[in-house]
Amino acid sequence: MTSSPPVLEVKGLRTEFHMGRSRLCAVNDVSFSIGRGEVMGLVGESGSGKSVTGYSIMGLVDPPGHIVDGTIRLHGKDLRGLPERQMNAIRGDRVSIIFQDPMTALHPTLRIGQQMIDAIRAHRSVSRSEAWRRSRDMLGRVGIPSPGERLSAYPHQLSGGMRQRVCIAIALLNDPDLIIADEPTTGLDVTIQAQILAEMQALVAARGTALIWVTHDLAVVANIADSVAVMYAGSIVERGPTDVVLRRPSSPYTVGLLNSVPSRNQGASRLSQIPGTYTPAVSEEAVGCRFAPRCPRADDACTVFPALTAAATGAPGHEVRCHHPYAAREGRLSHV
Amino acid sequence: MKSVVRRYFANRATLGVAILLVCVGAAVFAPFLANQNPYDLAQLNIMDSGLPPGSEGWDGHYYWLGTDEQGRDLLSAILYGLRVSLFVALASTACALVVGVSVGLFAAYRGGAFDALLMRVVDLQLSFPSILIALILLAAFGPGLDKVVLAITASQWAYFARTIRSSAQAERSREYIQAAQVLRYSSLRIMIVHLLPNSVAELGVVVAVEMASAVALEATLSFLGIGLPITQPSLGLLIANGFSFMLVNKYWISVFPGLVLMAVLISFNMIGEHLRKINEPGYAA
Amino acid sequence: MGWFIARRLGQFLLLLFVMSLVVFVALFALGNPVLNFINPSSPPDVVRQAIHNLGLDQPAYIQYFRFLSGIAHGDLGNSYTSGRPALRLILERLPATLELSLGAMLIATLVGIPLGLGAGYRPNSLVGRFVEGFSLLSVSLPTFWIGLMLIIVFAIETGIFPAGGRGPTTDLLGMKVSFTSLEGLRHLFLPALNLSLFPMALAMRLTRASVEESLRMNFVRYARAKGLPPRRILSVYVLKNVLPSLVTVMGMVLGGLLAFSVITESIFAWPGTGKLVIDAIQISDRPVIIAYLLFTVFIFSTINLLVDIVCAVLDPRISLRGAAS
Repeated sequence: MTSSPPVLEVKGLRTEFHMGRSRLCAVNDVSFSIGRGEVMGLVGESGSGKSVTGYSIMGLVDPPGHIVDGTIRLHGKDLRGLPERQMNAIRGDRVSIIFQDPMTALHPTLRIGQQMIDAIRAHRSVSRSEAWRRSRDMLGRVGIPSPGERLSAYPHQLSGGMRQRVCIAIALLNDPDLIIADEPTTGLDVTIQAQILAEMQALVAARGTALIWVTHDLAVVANIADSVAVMYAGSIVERGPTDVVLRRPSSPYTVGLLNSVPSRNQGASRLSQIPGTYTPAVSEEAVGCRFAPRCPRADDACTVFPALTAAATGAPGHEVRCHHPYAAREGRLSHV
Repeated sequence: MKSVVRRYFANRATLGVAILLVCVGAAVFAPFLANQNPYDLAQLNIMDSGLPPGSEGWDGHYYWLGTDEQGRDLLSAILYGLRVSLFVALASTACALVVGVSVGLFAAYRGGAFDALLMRVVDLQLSFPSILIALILLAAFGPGLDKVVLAITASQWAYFARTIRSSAQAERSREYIQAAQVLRYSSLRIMIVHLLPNSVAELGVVVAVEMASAVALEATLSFLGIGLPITQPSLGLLIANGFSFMLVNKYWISVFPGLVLMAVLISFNMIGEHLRKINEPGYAA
Repeated sequence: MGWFIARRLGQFLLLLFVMSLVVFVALFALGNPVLNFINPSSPPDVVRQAIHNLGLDQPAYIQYFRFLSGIAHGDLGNSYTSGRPALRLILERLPATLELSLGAMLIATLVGIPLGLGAGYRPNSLVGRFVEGFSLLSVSLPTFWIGLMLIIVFAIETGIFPAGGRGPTTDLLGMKVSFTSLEGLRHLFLPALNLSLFPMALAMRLTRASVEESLRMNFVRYARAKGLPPRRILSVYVLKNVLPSLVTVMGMVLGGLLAFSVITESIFAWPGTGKLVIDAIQISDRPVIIAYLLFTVFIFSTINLLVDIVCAVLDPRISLRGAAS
């Protein structure tokens, strides 16, 4: 997609949780890359492994979780197996993350300013007053009115939207190369959500920051992302340029997901639903395609775990993990 | 051999129960195990006073743990002292259990302002150190076995009330209690037949822990000389008696009763800790 | 914030009133103490005169009101034995008890909190195992027994520290204190250590538990995501979260220590209020007992009040919640 070397390149990532004797595989064979200034949507239901993928990149997977395989290259340097000390120097500096719930992410009894100054001074040797000034400027840039006063406020004194803006400001503080946004607009009003989305897009575009937007909301992805990766049960089932994947989906799961989005479904009398129930935890022994039990196109071939292959659309980078993908024409949704 | 022992005692509760059984056995059968009744002055021999452990007495008597300043066989004194200590702990914990459970169940069952008031009292009492409550009561009533039991009961009942009330309150909202109310069973019947058995699990922990603290509190009060009278010497009093002789290097008069006291307390606490683990959600044997 | 403090102050005054009533009623049930002081075979009119002098022939409620108005004037009656004002006796002994309790608190905090932090941060480390063992022992061993062991080991066998007494004191702001001289410190150390073991174990366990809980919180993960060094996370982000509950418990414990010092003072012959009250109980010196109990409850409740206020300052959410309810 881009000619410049990628900012982040993830290959064959596998993260497991060891619970007693059983091993749950939360992330299985996840690969993608993202270039400077690119926005990638990482889409999936809760428990599909999209957040764990984000934590794995940050090196924040705690026991009982372990990254067991794969490489995570930031500017070509593998972060996996990096000593904790060096990883700490990268976290919050080159790569930062925005959590889903800013109320629990921000420390409840430390002032906003202190939490921002800490984030700067962990990576830059600047004076407190200089760090304070940078923090104030950044709050102003993410659209917080009278930022100087907000710095001495506690998190509980701000509204939900303000708190999330604070977290976005913290993520931007050290001008990182990559930001992972883990469902940052969930739980906010739709209007505020749209505002934050637009602001975020403008901020990363201006700085050339790569952005991974983790979400379950396809509408958000359609708005913001250049490319999209759809995850199901720990694996990427389809990925490619956003407009190609959303307009000409190839994986039966993506098709089902798109059919259950209300705005996409205006013509239909009833919102369709993917049949069956989702089982987030996948034990290590599971074989075959994880979506097969709910898939309308499943047959005997699906007892073998499929590999990612080029999709029938022929679009650059459009790949699908399926034995029976929709062909370029039939996968199109009738009413789009 | 060592590994067998270790595996068997790996479970601290087993060790606790074993120690406790030995202590209770020794206390119950003290008159048969002891080679003298330490409170029958006629059986004491002043010539044997202050003998170190393992001495032979004037009349060829063998004193395993030595004697005190009045020539009393320390082993016999400890066996009888254990009897008194355990009896006081048992009596006061039983009283505290009855009072606390009644109050707690009643509060949980009645609810409302009544519940709020009672729990306020319980909270207030729990914020006071138990020794202060015991001091107030003993200052008012003076020393004596019954008064010590009263003082310990008074400083303990609130723990039982708190425990039973919180678990009973969780049960109260369950369907079967509501069903019993619809069927117009009497309040008392519902409380005793339905609430109590289902709230019992947590009580076990409190009983074990409170037995330990009752033994400790009684020993402390007796050591301070405001607990049991000199005629009913518990382990605490034995330790107090030996205290002054420690300075002249006759340490055994205090140390041996102290070690037994320690064993009793540790065993109760081990059992309590194990019961707590069993009660925790997600416990697998 | 002001409303929050006012409400707590109201509760505090109510508690004191209730306690004065409880203590008075409890001691009124004690019966007639006069017979402890004068020869029982004295002629009846001598006994009657003694009872009258002590005001014990008045009805109970009159005695209570005289007692209350006495409190208002700072007069809690005179000791039956020495004839000196009971409150004065207590205040004379108070510096010794305060010094002992604060010393114990200092040891408990300095040792307990760092060990608890370490044990919570790495539960399987040596520190973690030590804290686990220490807490079982500390709930199992009564204070007086540990005190005896300390005396045997450090005073009788090795002679490093004296076995009892307060040693030399110097005047500091009108109070006699012993921590100013080396010899005084030697006398203070064993009793303070003895008294510190209970709050120390409490501080360890509490710190450990809240650190373990804090480490699972999202804000710690977020602090790590910001790339903060572990030391900073532990000493600011975790400690700041642990501190309010720690201050609450340790503050309440300090109040409790004033009462618990009864035991330690008796063992180490430390001339404080605890020793005074034990002697008074043994001879039924009622005014001294009442004065001690009321005074202890007063200090205990005052400390609890201060603790609540400090907590409201440490955790800005508390006073907000208090005002809302």
